[in-house]
Amino acid sequence: MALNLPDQVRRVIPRWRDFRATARLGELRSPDPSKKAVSIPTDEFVRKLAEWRQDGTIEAAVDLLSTAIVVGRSSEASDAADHLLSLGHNLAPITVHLAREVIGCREEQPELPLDMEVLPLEEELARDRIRAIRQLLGGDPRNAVLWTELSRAYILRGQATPAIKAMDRALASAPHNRYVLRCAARLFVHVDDPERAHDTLASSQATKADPWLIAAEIAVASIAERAPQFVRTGRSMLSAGVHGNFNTSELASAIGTAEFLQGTSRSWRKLFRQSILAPTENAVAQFAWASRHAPGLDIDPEILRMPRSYEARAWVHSGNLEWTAVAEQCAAWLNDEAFSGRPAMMGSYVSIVALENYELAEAFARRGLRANPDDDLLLNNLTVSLVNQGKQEEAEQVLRGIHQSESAPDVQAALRATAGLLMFRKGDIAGGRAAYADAIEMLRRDGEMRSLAIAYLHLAREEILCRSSHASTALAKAEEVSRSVRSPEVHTMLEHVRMLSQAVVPP
Amino acid sequence: MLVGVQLDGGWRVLSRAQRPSASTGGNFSVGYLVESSTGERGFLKALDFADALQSPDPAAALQLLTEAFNFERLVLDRCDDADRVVTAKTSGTARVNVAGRLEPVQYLIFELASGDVRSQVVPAKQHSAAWGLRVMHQVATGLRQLHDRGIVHQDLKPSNVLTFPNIGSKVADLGRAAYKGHSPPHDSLAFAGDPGYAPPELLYGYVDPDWNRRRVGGDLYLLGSLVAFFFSGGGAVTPMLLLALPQSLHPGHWAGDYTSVLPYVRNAFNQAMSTIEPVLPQRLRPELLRIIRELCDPDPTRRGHHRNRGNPATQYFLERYIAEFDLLARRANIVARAP
Repeated sequence: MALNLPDQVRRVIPRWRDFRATARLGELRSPDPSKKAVSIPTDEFVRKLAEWRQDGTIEAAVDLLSTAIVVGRSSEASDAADHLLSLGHNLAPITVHLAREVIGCREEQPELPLDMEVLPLEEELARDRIRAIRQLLGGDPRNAVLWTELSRAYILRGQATPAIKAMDRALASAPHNRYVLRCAARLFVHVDDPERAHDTLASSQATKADPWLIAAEIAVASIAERAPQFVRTGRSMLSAGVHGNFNTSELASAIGTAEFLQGTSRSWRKLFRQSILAPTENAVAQFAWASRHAPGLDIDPEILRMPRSYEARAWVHSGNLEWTAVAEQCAAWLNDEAFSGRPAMMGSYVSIVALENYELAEAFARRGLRANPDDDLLLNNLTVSLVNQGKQEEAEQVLRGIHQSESAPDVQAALRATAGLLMFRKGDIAGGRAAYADAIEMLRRDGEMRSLAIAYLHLAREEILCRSSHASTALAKAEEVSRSVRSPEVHTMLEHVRMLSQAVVPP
Repeated sequence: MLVGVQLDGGWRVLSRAQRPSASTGGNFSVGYLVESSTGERGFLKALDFADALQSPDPAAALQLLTEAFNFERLVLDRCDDADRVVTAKTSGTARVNVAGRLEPVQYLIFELASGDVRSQVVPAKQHSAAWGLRVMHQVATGLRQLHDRGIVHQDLKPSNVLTFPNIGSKVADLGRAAYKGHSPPHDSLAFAGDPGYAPPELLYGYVDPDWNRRRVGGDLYLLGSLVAFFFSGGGAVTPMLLLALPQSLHPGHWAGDYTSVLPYVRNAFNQAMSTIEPVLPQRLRPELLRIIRELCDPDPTRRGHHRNRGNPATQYFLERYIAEFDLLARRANIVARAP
């Protein structure tokens, strides 16, 4: 049977995108509103512009380009750039490069939606990228951003040890840098070391003054089951309101989540609303999660337009039974945060349970497994997708490779059910039935009603497909259990199984 | 205004120079061609009262102008014996008729250069590696001569490296210099020179309290950028660096301190270096790349020759680079002569 992670808890763990995307999303801006950017004097630019217009020489044009780029007035130097490019082979390649950049500025189209800029996973995974980053680091081993990028390239390939080593180098070079600290926290959570993630954030002198880092510290402390250290400071920042809504979006979300989960205060609702005044994509996803669990916290469709809000959109589409759209958003989410197993889990689960598209489910699972090769939930979903495509031998091989004894109870139950599915398809009906019975018993003990319903539905489906005399009883039981479950995919699967039951004529 | 005027010392003003003095220090100044009684030609830089009088606060502009002029003359006097620095041959005051009144105009006369190095560098790198290295040797020597006298240039750029027949190159225009123990009028500015070539820390408004790190470290960056410009055919480090930096982190957008933005600037610098590297002359690539990296490190505390690093007394000394440019120029000459 297919399985997805339970939706009970979500925390505002920082996203870990590549450096350029993170900068473009505005997540690296200085949070201190008391400081203003230095204004660069432009008199030199004005003088050079006049000189270029008067002399028209190559030297004057090149000089003008350099200053125009630095003072941010490239568009006014485009005549000079045009002139240089018209000279063709008489120019050094670097001057051609500068001229093209200046003209690129003039011809800049309205920015593509950020959604379109997700790097293709294949490119990210390429071995060449690791080699290229290493080569660049050879020239500057103190480049913390590049060490972070290298760590990400490794984790995308599922190589945790070199990823951690690279992150250690990044932290050594820039121990108080927001980008490095947030990426490090995300990495340590990913490799199941939330304590180190928390230590890293809590020990940096930058954290106490940066709402982005405090947000991460509070979220990570919750995973590490520790008391967060900067809640009071974070609250003061929120009350003071001087950092701006965007800079404090995840902070409001993190404190709101902590209070909501503890159930000790009523201010979480206000905090969640504060978090979406000028939200990050992560705060939108968190708000969407909260809205699924807290009555009266309705999500405004407008905030789903935030760039890269794939996760939030996937969940909203799921609530509306728009399963193809869910799969599309999961695919985009997986590209955006390619090392995360969650989009692959949700994508493969929905593809099996609601779409019955097993090729797609296989693709989701395999992509998720690249960065998470030992993830038993993804291996389980891969096995289910393979069985349903008639690839029993391959499915059996995958199932045998899973160390079931180390799995969480719900995954153990799912794996037992998947073993039952395989037996059914191989003709061992009694064996399959017994395996499902074991799984159902395990899930019943666990009290996880959604997975229990899915298990019953899978069993009913197999009974119907093999035209067994137990089919109608199994379907009735599945209907009974499904009625107590609110998860929309369960009801879609129930519909599918009912239709199957009508289509398959009993012997 | 001064054309045709006979000056003290037998100098006569021939014509207005094509451009100001091709320098940042040329603000509020006018350039003229002059000739001595013996036929020697020179370049005259005169205060431009007309421009100053049109400024919003003429009195303040005039005072600033005079102070800047006096400071430049002081610095030039101090460099009188520096053979790789363009120094003043003479200075004085002329009287010119301004709106029916005789007004004093202060001037400086410099030796006349045949041009600046840009014309040799930009159009498809016409110069040989040996020539380029020799120029670098001369520029680094000129810079060291300044530093030895407690002076930093602060505006070293291609247009301020002038060439002279049979002499080679010299560092010109001390209009934006700083002199240890003195406070020129431009001292209060976040940066004194051309932003197109400025060290990144100055663009971000970072003012290091240590004179050496702020001033001499800045000159080292400008020298490294000049090396990049020379051997790449026009790629100064600062614009290349900013092209590799996301817009929201640019100076002018970044509101935080320099330490916080430094990791991003370092990453952009690394990308700029990877753009410049393949266009450097192949035989000299490793040495030039290392020199540029060392001189232009975005962290001023890490600038300087690797063998001097860790010793604050010698960190910003240029001797090792001067020796390296000399050695590389000799080698390049041998290679060029080889059949």
